[in-house]
Order: sequence, then structure tokens, then C-alpha cells
Amino acid sequence: MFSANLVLPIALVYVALLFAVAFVGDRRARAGRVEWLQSPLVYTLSISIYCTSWTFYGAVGSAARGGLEFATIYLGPTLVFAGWWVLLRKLVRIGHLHGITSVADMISSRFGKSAPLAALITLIAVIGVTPYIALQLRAVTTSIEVISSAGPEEALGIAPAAANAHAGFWIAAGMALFTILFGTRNVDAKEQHHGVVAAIALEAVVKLVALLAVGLLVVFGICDGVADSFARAAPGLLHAPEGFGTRWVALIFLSAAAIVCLPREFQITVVENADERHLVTASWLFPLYLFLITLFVLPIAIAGLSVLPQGSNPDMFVLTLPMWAGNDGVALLAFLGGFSSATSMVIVACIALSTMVSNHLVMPLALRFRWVHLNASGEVRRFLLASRRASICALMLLGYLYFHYSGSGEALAAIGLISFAGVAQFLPGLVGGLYWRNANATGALAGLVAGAVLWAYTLFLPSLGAGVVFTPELLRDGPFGLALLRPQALFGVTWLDPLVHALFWSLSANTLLFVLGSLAREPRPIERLQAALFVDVFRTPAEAASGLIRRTAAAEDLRVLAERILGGDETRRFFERAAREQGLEYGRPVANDAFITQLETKLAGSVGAATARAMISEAVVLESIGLDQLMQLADETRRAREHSRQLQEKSGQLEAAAGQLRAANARLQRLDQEKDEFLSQVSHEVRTPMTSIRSYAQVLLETPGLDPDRARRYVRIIHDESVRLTRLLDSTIDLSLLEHGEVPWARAAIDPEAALERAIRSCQGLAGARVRLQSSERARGATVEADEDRLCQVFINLISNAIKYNTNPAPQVTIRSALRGGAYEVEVADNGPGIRAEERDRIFSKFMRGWAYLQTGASGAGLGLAISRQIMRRLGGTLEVVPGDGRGACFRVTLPARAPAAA
Amino acid sequence: MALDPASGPPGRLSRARDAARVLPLAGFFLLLPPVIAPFAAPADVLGVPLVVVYLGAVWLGLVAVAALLARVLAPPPARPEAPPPRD
Repeated sequence: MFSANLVLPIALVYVALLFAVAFVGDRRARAGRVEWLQSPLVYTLSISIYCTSWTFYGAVGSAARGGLEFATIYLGPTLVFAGWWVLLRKLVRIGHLHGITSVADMISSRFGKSAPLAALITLIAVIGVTPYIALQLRAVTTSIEVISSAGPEEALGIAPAAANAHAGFWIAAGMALFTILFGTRNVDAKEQHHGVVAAIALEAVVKLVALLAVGLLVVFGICDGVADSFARAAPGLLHAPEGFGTRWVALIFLSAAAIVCLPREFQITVVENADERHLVTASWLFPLYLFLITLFVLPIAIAGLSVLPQGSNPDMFVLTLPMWAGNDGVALLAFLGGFSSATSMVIVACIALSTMVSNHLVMPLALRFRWVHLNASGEVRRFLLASRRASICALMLLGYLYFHYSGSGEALAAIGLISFAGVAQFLPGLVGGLYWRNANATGALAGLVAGAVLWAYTLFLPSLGAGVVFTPELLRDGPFGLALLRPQALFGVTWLDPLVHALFWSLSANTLLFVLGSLAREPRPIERLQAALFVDVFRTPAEAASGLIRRTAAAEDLRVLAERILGGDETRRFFERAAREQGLEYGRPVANDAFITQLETKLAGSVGAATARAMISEAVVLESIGLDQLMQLADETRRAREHSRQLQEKSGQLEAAAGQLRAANARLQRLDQEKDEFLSQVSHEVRTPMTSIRSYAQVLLETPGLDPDRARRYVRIIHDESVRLTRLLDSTIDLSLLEHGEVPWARAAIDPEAALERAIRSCQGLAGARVRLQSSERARGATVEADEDRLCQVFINLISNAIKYNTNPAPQVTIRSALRGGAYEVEVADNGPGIRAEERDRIFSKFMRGWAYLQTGASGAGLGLAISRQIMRRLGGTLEVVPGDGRGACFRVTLPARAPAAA
Repeated sequence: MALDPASGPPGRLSRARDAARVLPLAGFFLLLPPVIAPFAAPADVLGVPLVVVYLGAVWLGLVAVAALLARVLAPPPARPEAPPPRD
């Protein structure tokens, strides 16, 4: 069909196009023009490196063998992306905030920037992904063999026993060159490669268009429409409910895990992500891409099975069908599509893996064994780039060797799934670390080791074939004849599919040890800190960390360190910016906690968190982590809950306080008003006598020949008014003293009846003959604790009021006393006008005179009752108005009586 | 393109978040063997096997709901995060 002489130049032209796109993309990115390079569409297309040649060729092969099972590989990622809000959003946010460079960096950062953990993950990734790279090389070489059809065998899509090693080698070399040129230009923070991403987006379009073209050709060219293409299917292929069992579920889960854990997927989805909003678009656009690319897989598989000769390789149907139909254009497009899918996967996988290898394996060793000179500027940076380039070559060589020495028997899909199961071991640590605060490095390490060992033992090593690592006897009977430990039937579980079997045991052991290891010890402070930053990434600002780690270092040491990794220019810019942020006009920034954390994050963007921490630690003189603050930060939920509880409590307290304040304010206002009233009353009361004193005095002064009688009368009036004034002032002072309780009283056990008698006697004069004073029943022999004069004053006040304000034609005052319920009571009742109900509350206020006052001409300051009540309060008793029975007022004085024994 | 989340009724965003959390679970449920296996019956829709139609419908349904939720949940534009200067 095509001669090899034609296919290779076409492939080379295509590769040249990719180089050009990558070159232009890189140029534009450097010039700062990243518009279309950083669009959601390019991002989504670049994620499609998930669809490797394993999809392009292998999906059809898988469909031809297992019907709908192929779809599981694309349903898992569909679910993960449709559920971006749960997991991917968190990953991308953390990636941005902490300058994460790879999946190993992410997990090791979470677990206290643990270098051993990062190295282990890198190792597993390399072992797991190398066969995958070999798979791509095989797909490309086979497709070249097929399309250039050297013989009848190749036309069936069956690669010759010895695959074209030369072609494979040069393809590997070409991919390595591309990756080195565009993947390792810099050790840039964030590790973004715009040129590579642009080229991959182009390849994504090519492979989708190619597969759709093949599909349309098959459905409408080879078959007679959609119905016909399905009608050709073998009856058992699509109508078999037994196809949906544990393997179906396990494969959906596995592919969902792989889209998160695969180093190349992590690289594109998290590390190369420029804007979180791109992820929002990818959440539906990527599932749509997957849907479209798998749309024609079934028709192609069915057509291949029905029209191509028996024994054709289903993994090459995509290529052999157009050839069989004689459509060279579509065949060439299919070849380029397969080539695209293979190269894009290899390139990104190599970038991701080389970053991991250089950051987590080579660099820590170089630091330990002093391979890099630590005093030359840019030395570490050059070393990093060199180690990355070397890693890429080594990875490619490893893939090539695997491809060269492994037979050609393995179906493409099987290798892919083995690789998936390998990287799925990252899942417990990755997801557990993002949502479980107490997860620690011990658990993650233990889980990973167990998972990886079981994966190798039950799946990877047996897949190499009997006799490569495992002897056929070991596979059949188990090690040392222990049947329970047979690699593919662990603990006698023989009924599971080998993949499901391996997945079950490896992930179960992994998760179990992860949990147990994490529960076994307290997280270290740095783990706790990272846990808080990662688990609560949406609530805890990254700057929170800077205040927690207390470090001191010489700014000069830090500058030297930064220069080694970032180079002179970048370092100068970084330091100048930091100095400006610190408000310094010129010179070096102060090496405070915040700056050191900032620098560490910057370095982590190049060498990974673990290495960056190790390097910073060399420059740092003193390090401590504020444990108290850390605990507070770490327990974000508890803190939030505590906070809201405190808020509630506070708001309750505030409400109560506000209520008290309102009450106090009202009381103050009332007091203020009372004071005002009191002042105006006092002034008023004082003014009346003062006015008459002043006017009579004036008359005396201004009338020289005043007759002595009138003069004496005037002087008498002045004297009387002065006495009244003095009395008023005395009462006021008396009341003020009483209210403030300043003067201590001599209290003694007295007979209150004596005081009452004295009061009645003093009032006899006032009563005269007009008012009848009568004493009814009296309590004899009572004893109270009181000041006798004061008590007498109260009685006099009550009795004289009753006499003065009595308007009854036959005025009468009745005085009763009694011992009631341990209290001594005196009631003074009259038959006067009484106290109105509305006056009862205020009758004891200062200057308050009852309406009865208005009925008589009797004078009074209105302080008597106020004073009496104060006195009774201080004596521990009460003075109140008794709701009268009929006419007249009745006041009752109550005092606690002393125990009768003392009486 | 994206609606401003603040422009919707207050509960809308929070319900959209919950829906986004449930969506993958709902999708997984629809793909579980007891749910999907009955569709593998020997029945066709316009010549396409029923189970293929079902799978396609679930798939496109996930895409459609995810696209709808994306409109509501898209973070506000203009994240002030200039790309670091390159050397």
C-alpha cells in the first residue's frame, strides 16, 4: 500500500509541524502572549493525553474482545471530571498555592515534605509507567509496519516476531529529543510548558478527527449505516448481562483512580493548569471529548471482526479497516492519529517522570553526596536541567529496552491496565491526605510499600510471563509450595479475575496499612501544619504557615542558595520584589519567617517541596514550629465550631449586657429626672421663704421711720421664715445623709412601744382638742433592734401628717401596734381625705405631697415621708401605705422583732 | 459566559455545590451492575443495542448536568495572578 519510503517522510513532516507549534507556543509564552495557549479549550484538549495509542488502537481491540468493557476506561475519568468540585478542584488549588511539581511532590508535601515518600512514589511511577511507554513504542512501530505492508502478515495487523527495532529506536530518540527541547527549557516555578501543551492540544485534535473519520468510513462506507454496523455483531458481544460484574465496577474505579494518579495526567491537570476556571470548562468538555472519541469504537470493532479475515489483530483494526476498504487518505490519517496519541503520551509522561526523578531521586542524592558544587551561581539549576535531560533519555531507553525484549504477545489493553493498577497505589495516600488530618507519613509509606509489593507480586511480575521472574512452578503452586500464597490466587481466592484480584489485595492492604500507620503515632508538627494547609486549603490561607514556622537565616546565605537554583537574574528579581513588599527602598529583604516561607515555596516550584525544605534547612540556623498556633490551625473544624459557639455565647452575653444597659440607662434617666425635679423643688421651696425674707428686710432698710410694732412684726416674720428655711435645709441634708448611708447609727435593742409613746406625747400639742388621738390594741413587751430617736422621728412624722392633713369635721387618728409573724407592726390610720390609688407609689418620693396637702393650709416640705422611708430601710424594716378600708389613709411600719426569748 | 453566582437566588449556589458533589455518585450508581445489566436485554433502539443507547444517554446526561453546574459554579473571573516573569 504505502511504501516505507513514503510513510516515514510523512511522519517526519508531521513531527516537524509539532516542533513548529511547540516552538511558536514557547515563543509566545515567553513574550507574555499566552491568550490562546491558556484557554480552557487548550487545557481540556491537553488533558486528552489520557487517550494514548492504547485508546486509539487498544479500545477497538478491547471492544472486539469484551464488548462494552472498553467503555469503563473512559467512564471513570468522566465521573471524576463531572465530580471536579469534590477532588480535582482541591488538587488544583493546592497545586497553585504550594507550587506542586508532580504527584510525588503533592503526596510528600502533604506528609511533612517527606523525602523518602517522594522517592518511593517516583520509583513506583517509573516501574509502573515504563511498560506503558514501551506500549506506545510498540504501537507506533507496529502501525508503521502495518501501513507500509511489507507482507501479508502485517496487513492483518500482526507485528513480525522481531519488531522493527531500528524504527522503534529512532522513534524513541525523536521523542526524547522533542521532550528535551521543549520539556526542559527551564526549571521554572510551576513547571509549565506552554509549547508542549500547544503541541499536545494539536495532537488531541488530530487523534479525535482521525478516529471519527475512521468511524464514519466504517459505518457509512464499509457498513450500511448504524443499524447495519450493529447488526453484524456476534450475538453475545453486546447482549450479555454477565459482562457487568465485579470487573466492570473494578475497571470504572481503576480508571477513575488512574486519571488522578497517573503522573502525566497530574502534570497536565494540576501542574500545567493556569487558571482554576479552566477546570470548570474541562469538567464537562473532557467527558464530552471522551464520549466522542469512543463513539465509533464499537462499530469499528464489529466491522473488523466481520469483514477482516480470521486472525487479524483487533488492536490494529483502526488502521487495517481503511486499508482494507482501499481508502488511503483515511488510513494515513488513522496512522497519524495513532502516532499523535503515542507521542503526546510519551512526551508528557517523560516530562512528568523526569521532573520526579530529578527532584526526588537525583537531587536528594546529589545534596547528600555533594555532587553539586554549592557555591557557584546557577550550579544547581544547571545540574537539575542536566539530570532531567538524562532522566528523559534513561526513561526512553528503559521503555525501548522493555519494548525490545518483551515479546509481542501481550494485548495492548492488558499492559495499560497493569500500569493503571500500579499508579492507583497512590490513591489512598493522595485522597486520604487531602481529607484526613491525622494521616501521616508512616501510614502513607507503609501503605505504599504494601500496595506496591502486592501489585508487583500479584499482577506485574506474573504479567511478564512464566519463566521471566516467576518460575511456572511458583505461579502454579505458590512460593515453597504454599498454595495460599499463589500470586494469582492469594489466600485461595481463585474465582476473581486476575486484575480484580490484584487490585483488591493491593489496595486493601495499602489502605489498611495507611490507616493503621497513621493511627499508630501522633503527626509530627510539620505534618500537622501541612495537613492543615492541605485539608483546609479553602479555609486556611497559605500565609498562615509563615507565622507558624519560626526560622532565622542569614539573608546572604539565602541569596546564595536561591542563585544556585534560580540563577542570578531570577534571584535578583525575587529578592528585589520581596524587599519592596517589605517596604524597603533598596538592598536586601529581611530574612523573616514570611520571606523564608516565600522563598521555600518558590524553590519548591523548581525542585519539589521535600528538596526545597532540605536546602532551606541548610541555610536556616534555627527552626521551631509554634505548636500552640499549629494545634489551633490544624483543627480547623473544631476551631470553626468553637468560633461559632463563642460567637453565639458572645451575642447572648451582648444581648444580656445590652438589656442591663438599657435598664441602667432607664434608671439613670429616671434618677436624672428625679434629681432635676429635686433641684427645682428645693429651689422652689427655698425661694418662697427667701422672697419674703428679702422683701421684709428691704422694707426695714428702706423705711427709716417705721413704727417699732410693725418693725418687730417684720423681724418676727423674717425669723420664722429663716427657721422654716433652716428646717428645710436640715431635712434635705438629713435625707441626703440617709440615702448615702454615711453616718453610722447606734443600734440597740429597744422597746419600740416607748418610742411610740414618746411620739404620741409630742404630737398631743399639735392635735390639741380638735383632733382625737386614740390608741387601740398595743403590742406590749416587743423588742426591736433600732435607733430609738430615729424610730420616734418616723412615728412623729406619720402622726403629725395624719393630724395636719385631716379635713374631716371630726378628725380622728387611730394608732395600733401588734406583733405579727415575728415582726413588730405599727399602723397609723386617720379619717382624712386619704391617699388616692395613683399616688400610692409616689407618696414616698421627695417633695411629693398628696392631694390632701392641697385641701389644707398646713405647710410641709414634702420630705417627711421620704425621710421616714429611708430611716425604716436602714433599720431593716418597711414603711408602706395600707390599702385603706373606706375613708382615710393608713400607714404601716414594720420592723423585725427580736426572738421572744430575748424579749 | 458564566453567570455571576452572586446574581442568583441565595440558596442556588449552595444547592449547585451539593449537586456537584452528588453528580459523580449518581453517575456511578447508574453504572452499577444491577442497574445497567437489565439493559443488556436483547432489544434494539433503531438498530442500536439498548445497552449502548443507555450508556450513551448516561454519558451525555453527565456531560449536560456538569455543563449546567459549571455555569453556576464557575469562580468569578479575573484572578489577580500574573504569571511570574520568565528568564
